[in-house]
Amino acid sequence: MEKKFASLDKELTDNQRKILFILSLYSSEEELEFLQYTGWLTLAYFIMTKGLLPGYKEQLLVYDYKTDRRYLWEDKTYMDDVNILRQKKLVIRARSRSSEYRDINAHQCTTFGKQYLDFIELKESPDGKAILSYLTCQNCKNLLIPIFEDEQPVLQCLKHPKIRVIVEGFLWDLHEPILEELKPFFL
Amino acid sequence: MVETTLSKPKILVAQYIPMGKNHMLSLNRHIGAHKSYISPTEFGLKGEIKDIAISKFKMKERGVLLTVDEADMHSYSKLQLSTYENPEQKFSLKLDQDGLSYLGADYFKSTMELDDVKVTIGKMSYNVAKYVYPILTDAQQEQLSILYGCDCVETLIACPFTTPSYSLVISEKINGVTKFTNAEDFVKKNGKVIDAITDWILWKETIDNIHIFIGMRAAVAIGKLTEPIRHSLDKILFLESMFNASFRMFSKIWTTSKAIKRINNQVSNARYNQLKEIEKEMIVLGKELTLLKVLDKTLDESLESKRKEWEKLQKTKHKTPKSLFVFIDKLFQDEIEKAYDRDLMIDIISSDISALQGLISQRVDLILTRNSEILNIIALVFTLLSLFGISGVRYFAMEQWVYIIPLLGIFLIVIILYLNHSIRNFLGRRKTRRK
Repeated sequence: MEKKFASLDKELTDNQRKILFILSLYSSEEELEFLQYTGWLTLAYFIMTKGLLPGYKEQLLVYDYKTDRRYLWEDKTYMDDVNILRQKKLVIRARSRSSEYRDINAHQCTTFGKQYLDFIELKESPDGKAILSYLTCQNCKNLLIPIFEDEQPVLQCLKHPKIRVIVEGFLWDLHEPILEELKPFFL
Repeated sequence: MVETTLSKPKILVAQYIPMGKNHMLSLNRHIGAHKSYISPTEFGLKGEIKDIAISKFKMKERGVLLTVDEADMHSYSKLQLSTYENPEQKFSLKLDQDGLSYLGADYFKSTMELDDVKVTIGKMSYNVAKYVYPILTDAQQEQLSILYGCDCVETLIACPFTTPSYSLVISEKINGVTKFTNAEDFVKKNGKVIDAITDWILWKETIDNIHIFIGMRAAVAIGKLTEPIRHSLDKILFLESMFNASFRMFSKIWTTSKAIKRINNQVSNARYNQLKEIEKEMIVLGKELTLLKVLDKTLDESLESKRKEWEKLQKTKHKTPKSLFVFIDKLFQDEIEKAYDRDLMIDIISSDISALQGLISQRVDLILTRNSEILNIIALVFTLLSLFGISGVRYFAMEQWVYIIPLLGIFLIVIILYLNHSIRNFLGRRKTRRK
């Protein structure tokens, strides 16, 4: 198994390992726990703003956010990275029914994925520790959960609701005026 | 690294707005399309005149400035639109009787990176609801609110991301890409570059030196437009906006169906107070269904009208080139078939709602009848007891008590039954969930 992990490790980039690590914190194959894709993007964006995912850029996508389609962050290579992780059987993708909206895209780190992360000891590495420190509550060390609020998503401790971090910039503000010169055009 | 850019892009952001000839005429009269004013008039101000006898009045928020470029009173309107804050910045606004409505702009001085085009599309799409919805009639606003799942049009305007748009970007030149000969070659050599604007590409081809990419969210046309292509793109804008509207309509029908199923499960065990809450919810659902039926009919008529227009076009010199014809024809077919399915689903929901209303009435009657029955028994037994009471209960002999005790017993039992029934059905409200 170790040989397999070592060989796998050579095929993955730093960003891919880190986003897998983030997913592993919020999902579990045994417990049937999943993370919405938008939640995964929120966490990745937040960590990117802390300088820990340097390979990603400020780019945008129109995607599901709560019960709407919003302009939000997704680097163009992010989905490619996710697909690679899926091909390597480190991530499972699911579409889950919801009570008030259409089916939601969600992902889960596989048990194999968690074993791989244990093998490379990412949690104990400086980046791993840094990521964990940003995503855990200072009081109780529980994970901060992405909550989709209308203005911006927040990372909140469910046990200590006052511990909240607004993920500024994840949702694009398109209310700003258009500055370019323009004139009317009819087709 | 050289970024991919589009030179002087023209952007149209389209939404389906339920129209028809009556609303089109009403709108054109409202904006004075027959009067040919040169200066713009302000429309869509927030607020209203409370007392028409008092000449001075105050409004809450400014609207948009409209000048009519061209109009056919029953068919379409081509307007120039600007805002009070920036009256020099003029967008185009086209509305037609079949529901194709778009906000357009020619960025004649710009060379934009593709991500900037995407952001600009987003900003323009936010403005569609803000600028256009306030000038529609109440009936149109209600239909749009129901379609997009909002309680009122003000909420729709405040949450512009709720309303889906489809965009068309036209540019004579794309820069910063590997040289290509046609649309297929472009994708081969440049990969998913144009996806930044179009999202998944559904169709791509080069016709008359125009490279056309039609995606899930937008279409891009690079080159100098010919008349046949211009007309074809007009149909594509209509069909893709119609796709958005019909998709949301289907979602709305689905959520209504789910609500009916949920209520159906609740009714058989519901208490009186819960049933009253359910009845209120049913009234709202009934109203939504009526609006959905109207909207569905409007969608069907729009589709038929646009299809006839397109078929007429095929007999002229501006007929659609063959490969694009096949694509557009399929889009029309798909929408027509979806319209049939929708009609069926709406009929089913109508029946379900009628049946459910019957069931609720029946359950309410049952509870009230049972309540009356128990009260009647109490009254009867109490009357009998009273008779004994009059005759002086203190002097009752053992033999008399033999009659009294059973009656007292029955009285106590029915009192307990009544109290139990009342507590279960009339006291202690439990709210039924309403999305």
